[in-house]
Amino acid sequence: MKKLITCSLLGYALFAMAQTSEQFSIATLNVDGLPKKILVFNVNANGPGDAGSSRIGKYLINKNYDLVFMQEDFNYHEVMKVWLEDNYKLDEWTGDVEVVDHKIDFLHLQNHRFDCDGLMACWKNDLTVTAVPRTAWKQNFGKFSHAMDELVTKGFRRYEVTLRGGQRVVVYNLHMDASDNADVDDGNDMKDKEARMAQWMQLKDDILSQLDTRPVIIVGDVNTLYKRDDVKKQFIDGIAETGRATVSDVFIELKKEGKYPEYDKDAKVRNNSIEELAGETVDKILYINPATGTQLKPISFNVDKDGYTYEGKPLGDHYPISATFEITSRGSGIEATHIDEIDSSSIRTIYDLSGSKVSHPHGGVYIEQSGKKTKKRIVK
Amino acid sequence: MKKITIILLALIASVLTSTAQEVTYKIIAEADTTIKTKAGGATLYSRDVRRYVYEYTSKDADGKPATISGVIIIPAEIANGSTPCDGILLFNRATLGSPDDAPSTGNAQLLNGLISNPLKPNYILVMSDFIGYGSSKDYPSFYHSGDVNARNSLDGLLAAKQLLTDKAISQGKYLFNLGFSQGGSETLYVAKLRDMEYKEKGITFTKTFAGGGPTDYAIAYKEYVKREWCEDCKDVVMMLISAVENLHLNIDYKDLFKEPLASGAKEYVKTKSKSTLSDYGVSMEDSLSHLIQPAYMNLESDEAKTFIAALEKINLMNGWEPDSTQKYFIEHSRHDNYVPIQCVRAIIPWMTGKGFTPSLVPGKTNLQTNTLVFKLNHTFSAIVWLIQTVAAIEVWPVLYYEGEQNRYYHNVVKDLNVLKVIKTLESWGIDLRKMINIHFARQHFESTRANRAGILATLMDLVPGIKDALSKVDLTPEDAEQMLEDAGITLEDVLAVVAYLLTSPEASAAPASGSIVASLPLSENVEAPLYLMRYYESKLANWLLMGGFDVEYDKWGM
Repeated sequence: MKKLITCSLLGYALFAMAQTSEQFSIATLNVDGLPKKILVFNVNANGPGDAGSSRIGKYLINKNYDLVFMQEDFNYHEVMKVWLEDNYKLDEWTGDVEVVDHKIDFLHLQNHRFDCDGLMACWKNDLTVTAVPRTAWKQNFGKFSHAMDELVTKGFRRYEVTLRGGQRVVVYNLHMDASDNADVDDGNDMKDKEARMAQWMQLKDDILSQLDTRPVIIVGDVNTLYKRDDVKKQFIDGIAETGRATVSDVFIELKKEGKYPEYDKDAKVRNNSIEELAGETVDKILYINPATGTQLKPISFNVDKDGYTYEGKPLGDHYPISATFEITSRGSGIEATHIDEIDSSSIRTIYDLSGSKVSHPHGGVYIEQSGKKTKKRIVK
Repeated sequence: MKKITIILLALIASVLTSTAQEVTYKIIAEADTTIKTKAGGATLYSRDVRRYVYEYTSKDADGKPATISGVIIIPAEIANGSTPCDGILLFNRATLGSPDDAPSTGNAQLLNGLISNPLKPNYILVMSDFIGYGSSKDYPSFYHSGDVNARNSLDGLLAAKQLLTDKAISQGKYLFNLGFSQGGSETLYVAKLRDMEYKEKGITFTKTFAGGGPTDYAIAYKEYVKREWCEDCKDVVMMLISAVENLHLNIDYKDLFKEPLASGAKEYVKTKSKSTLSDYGVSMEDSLSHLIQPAYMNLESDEAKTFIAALEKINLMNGWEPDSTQKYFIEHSRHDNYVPIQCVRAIIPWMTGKGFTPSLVPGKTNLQTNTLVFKLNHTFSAIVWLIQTVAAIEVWPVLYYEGEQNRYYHNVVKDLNVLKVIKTLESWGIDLRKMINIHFARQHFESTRANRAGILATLMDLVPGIKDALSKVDLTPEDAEQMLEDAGITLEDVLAVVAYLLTSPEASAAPASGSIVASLPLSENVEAPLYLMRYYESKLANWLLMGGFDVEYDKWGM
């Protein structure tokens, strides 16, 4: 067992760091990269294909976002990549949904699942990003119907970003289960909603289990509309109720004066155009400010329709949405009030000196937080 | 007060004992082995399996406990947990030529074809020997004698499920009830017993597939007498002997059969072997009038009437309130040379009156029918049933998800109607639009619109040459009308056909394929599920063709 050695410093104020801030832009886009056909199923007959995906790559490079997070980056990755790779570093690609005979058991298609998640990220060359392993959703609904969510391995990926000025932010990129409009019309998407809510709860647990002084941004195709999914209460308010952080949807905050559409469990809300949904899309950017630590403030929000067209039609079946944030460090807010000897097994949460949570402290100085009490530790 | 407490405790204890009671079984043999699907001495396919022969308690005809045997065949990949199990096939066996052919003996090699075939269905096969075979060989055979075998089958299923649970082997989501010929009839008795009794024990079938079954014994007997013939007269003799024995009819075999069969009937009861009947002069191709006494070949005789009345007492429909949430497929060749089609033509309209809607389209309603199989041969009908059934269970996990029909598949089947059948006739070279006299037809339809029979008769009269054309595909106008009945084609459907015939005078090019499905003008997307089913069917058909079976894929009806 690792032993914690104590010092006798009391009232030691940590991080008397002056407030610093910087701005950055972030975009999320479902690039509609499913092939036009899987087996004999026309899964994406009107998708962008090679040519359209190349135009999407060109569009993104012109937009010059700092961080771009994508979903459904499956079969046309290479043609998009050639536009992006000079100015951006790209995350690893999990593969396509190409059907190759030896990969598919045609006699038992019910057992097949493509192991790719379609999640992709790229960031400007001067940013530092580390990504943790991908996490698949524990619950899905729909194999060859109900939007076929189980054909691929949908889930989320967590990225830890260090910006140009040294500010740090965590980003979750994700793709949640969809509702088929036909099922919505029939009132038959309850299990799709259940799966989606289970995914929000899984996301909440993951975020809270790793929440530290860094703010968190959630981006992606969440297939969620506030009127049909009770995300405001279950996720946004749910996190706020812990007292550890606050959550806000950038679109709602900047475009709707903070007023969320009222949830109606009986509402049949289709995945219609953004005009019909008063601007709300199934793609979202949410941010979480920890109760103590670095803070995000949204500056702008856009549904980037301009330029995302070819011959009058959108390049894909989603528009990019983007936001600009100001990130301000106001110090960790954590102060060590006394230092005591304690068995490491009883430690609740440990942070490094920059305020980032540490799972397994090695030698050095750390901060331990238990409830409202904070202690400084030296770990040998 | 103390006494009351004791009584209460005793009551609670008895309830606990009853609810905690487990289904018991005894494993007789367990082996990891390879099963082979054989026909004509040739091995058509083999598959590694784990095979359990087991005994369980069921009931005899008097309701007394009887030890019955059965077999459970589990694909090796399922037994060792390396592949998911899709479900269980409760297979009700067909007529046995000898006790040596009982499922538990391992000799029923064609039955292995249900899971040992190129589609590699990931299902567990459960088969009861039925009473009188295997471990219960000392009991009489209940050949077409009501619920006894059905109870054996369902008790065997419960025991098999317990065994699988105890062995930690996955049972999958689906449970199909199936059988052909004798098994086709037993399958419907199983469905009946499930609805009336075993539903309470947690048994719900995903779908029942019954083919070629003598589902109405009285009708079967009457048809045999009328025809004086059956492709295998031994089966008719076996049915009569079983009725005499099991229904306690007190008929002297000398009054029922002619010699030498009359003297050999009791010997057959002991041996249960068709070879015994051969020993007493019964051959497959015999005339029934050579075997059965005139009194029982005359349906107006008192003897025959008494016999028919006894058979009607164990009629499938007696005491059955069918659960219309259960799904059925009933298949029968129009001119089955073993089992008269009149048997199913009694059950289909009866089920229609019980909340079922017949349709020849798979998945469209709760009662899929196929009485369109063209060839006379009972065996050919069995092949069609086998292929359609195996393909259906194979594709089931794709077409159904969490108890719900796949939306794309639903969109296909809901739009299939009689017009598509007309287009199929066109593909066979019978283009009704070329034949019809439009002006004459319009006049006649105005006057006969009032009733379905009139419209059908008018249709037949209006289309010169239609009778000849139908005869080329072995159909009479009466057959065609019966086919409409069996297929659940409504007056509305017929009127739609009329409209089609009257408004499309120009013949269009015939579709390339004889398949109803292939002729559909569907978008590619919604066709996909049916492509998959056709792919499975054709894969099985090609397999059997290579194995020497006479598979005429274009003559299946649907």
